[in-house]
Amino acid sequence: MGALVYNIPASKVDLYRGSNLIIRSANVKELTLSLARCDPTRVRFIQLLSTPADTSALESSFYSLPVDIHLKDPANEYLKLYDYANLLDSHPIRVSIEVAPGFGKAVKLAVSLNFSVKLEMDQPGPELIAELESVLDLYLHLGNVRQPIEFFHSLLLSYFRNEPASLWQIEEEDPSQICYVTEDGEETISKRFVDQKQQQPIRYAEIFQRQASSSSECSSCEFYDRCRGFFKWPDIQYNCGGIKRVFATLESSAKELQEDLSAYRAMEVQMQS
Amino acid sequence: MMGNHFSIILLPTNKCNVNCEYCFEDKTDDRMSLDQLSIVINKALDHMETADIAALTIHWQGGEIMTMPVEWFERAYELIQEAAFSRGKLVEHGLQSNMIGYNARWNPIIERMFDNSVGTSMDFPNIHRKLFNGSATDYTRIWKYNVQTALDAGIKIGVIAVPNQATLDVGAERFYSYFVDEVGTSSFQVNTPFPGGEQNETKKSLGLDVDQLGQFFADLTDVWLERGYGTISLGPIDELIKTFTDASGQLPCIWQANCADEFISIDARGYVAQCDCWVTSYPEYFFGNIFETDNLTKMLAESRARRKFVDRPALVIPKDCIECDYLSLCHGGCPVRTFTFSGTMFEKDPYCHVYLAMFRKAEEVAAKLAGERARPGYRFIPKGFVGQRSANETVQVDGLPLPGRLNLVQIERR
Repeated sequence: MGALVYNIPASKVDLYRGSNLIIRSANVKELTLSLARCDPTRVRFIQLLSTPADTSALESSFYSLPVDIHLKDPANEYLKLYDYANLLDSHPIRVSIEVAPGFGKAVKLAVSLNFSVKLEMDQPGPELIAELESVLDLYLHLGNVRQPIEFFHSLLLSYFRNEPASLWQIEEEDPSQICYVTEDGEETISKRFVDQKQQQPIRYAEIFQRQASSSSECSSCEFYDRCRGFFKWPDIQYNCGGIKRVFATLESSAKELQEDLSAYRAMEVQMQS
Repeated sequence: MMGNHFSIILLPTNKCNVNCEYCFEDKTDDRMSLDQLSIVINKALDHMETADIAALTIHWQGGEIMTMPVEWFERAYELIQEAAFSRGKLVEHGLQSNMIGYNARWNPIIERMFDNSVGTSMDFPNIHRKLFNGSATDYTRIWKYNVQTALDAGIKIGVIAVPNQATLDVGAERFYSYFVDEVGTSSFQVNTPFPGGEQNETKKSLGLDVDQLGQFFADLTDVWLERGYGTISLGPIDELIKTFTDASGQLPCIWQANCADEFISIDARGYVAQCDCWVTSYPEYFFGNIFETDNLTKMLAESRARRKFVDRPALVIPKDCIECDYLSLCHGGCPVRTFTFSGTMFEKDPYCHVYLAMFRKAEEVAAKLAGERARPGYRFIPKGFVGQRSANETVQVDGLPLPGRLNLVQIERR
């Protein structure tokens, strides 16, 4: 990906001029003003932390930059996505959705409006795991889903292509790629780590991943190469049983796709000969 | 707001030359002058500039459009193109006529302004379309003659048909044969009926059994696949199948995420409303009058009536549409169909059951068609935001010579 990307509050844009940026704010006007004070070619995307009904400022500005709409309370906010449907004419749109009760409805509406989706993961309990599996089923099987749902999509591709992947990277929490800047100006790994003061996010992530890898569950986990203890934060004792089922479904689906493609190619060769 | 494209269903006349029993428009004798048209166009262009909209499509209809003089359209076309050019905007035109008043004098303007194409309406069997002084049979005879004349002149004719009980009784095969074999059209669309406008006995009987209607659409799909797939355009079935196959389908207005984002209608008196049905028959749902405002953008933004349309999906979807596998195709359906059957627009479309049958059938057909080359489920795959790249960057699975929509991985459900 190249140089580090800083995920900053819009109020800090002057301090990070010249850096690669993700600029976030709950206020559309503040986002607009911050963009006027930086080089837009350095901005990877802008992140809207609220769901205001008036989107006109977003529609006609921002140089077609990708827009990430963050739903913190998806069960109550998801219907506001209708206000953003037209933004797709001028911007790539992704909806970042907190995995909280009722988030499945938000995912379904987002993909129904042709928005891509990123799930904001924490340590989901059994009920949220059930909802997560239902969303995975929608992603894999619903015929009219046309947009990626992350982290499913990148993991599926990784298994399909037999390529390595990092959940930390997919979730935009890899400190070698992204630095999250808090409202107070502290630099940390991601939003999940704001309460954990670290001098060096990269070093801290390495230490944490090493700790996690030595835990009994991670040390014997077949998915550790892609997960690297992502779900062991903040509680290292978190039971990953449900998450492992999600990984296993993605892995087996990718395998199925590989087999189908092989069969298709064989059929094609047979038809040509 | 409106995205980067905007449509106006423009009724330069509210007058009609026929007397269809089920018409949802309450007619008047009003006509728009060229000076009034100029005002409408300039205010629409102002709105496009304010809202940063690049292109406008004007869907011309009435009343009956061919009660206006040909010369009026010749001047209207020049006036609009000049105004649009001076503002750097693109304007395209579509024409919807009952074809009863058509004659060869219309051919040059149809070619120049409307891409040599006309949309018209006819049912089979025709029961409700009538002349003022004549029967449905007379209407059909004149319509058919004029359509044949236009087809012979090289004009492309698209027909909108509304099924009635007699349609369901004769069945899909006969219905298809009428339009394709007898009329000779290569493009027709089937719309569902609704009792809009002032009520009468005919409108009370427009509602059809949804199971029967769903079966009719399924049968019609089979007939079209057998006889017309690849050569005959049959809306909305063909577009639905395209949607399931490669996401390229252009679905009708009733299935857009929100029709309030897509278009408005303006009638000959200058009233602005959601579509042609609302603007002719439901004054309480007018957004305002374009001749009485200096600012169309402000009118649309502040109209309480329009707010109801904007808010509709968010009020309807949570009831049960959110659970539906086809939410992305329908979004609760058509406000005017809902309103005219249910008395409120804040319910889902009463044809939900029919739409479900159509979606299931289209999905099944798309899978079958894809299966001729490969099993459905093979897709190109986008990379999205992963690694902070642009969401529209796509990564293609190496060497996949496969059909399928452009940006989806789908695994067949076991």
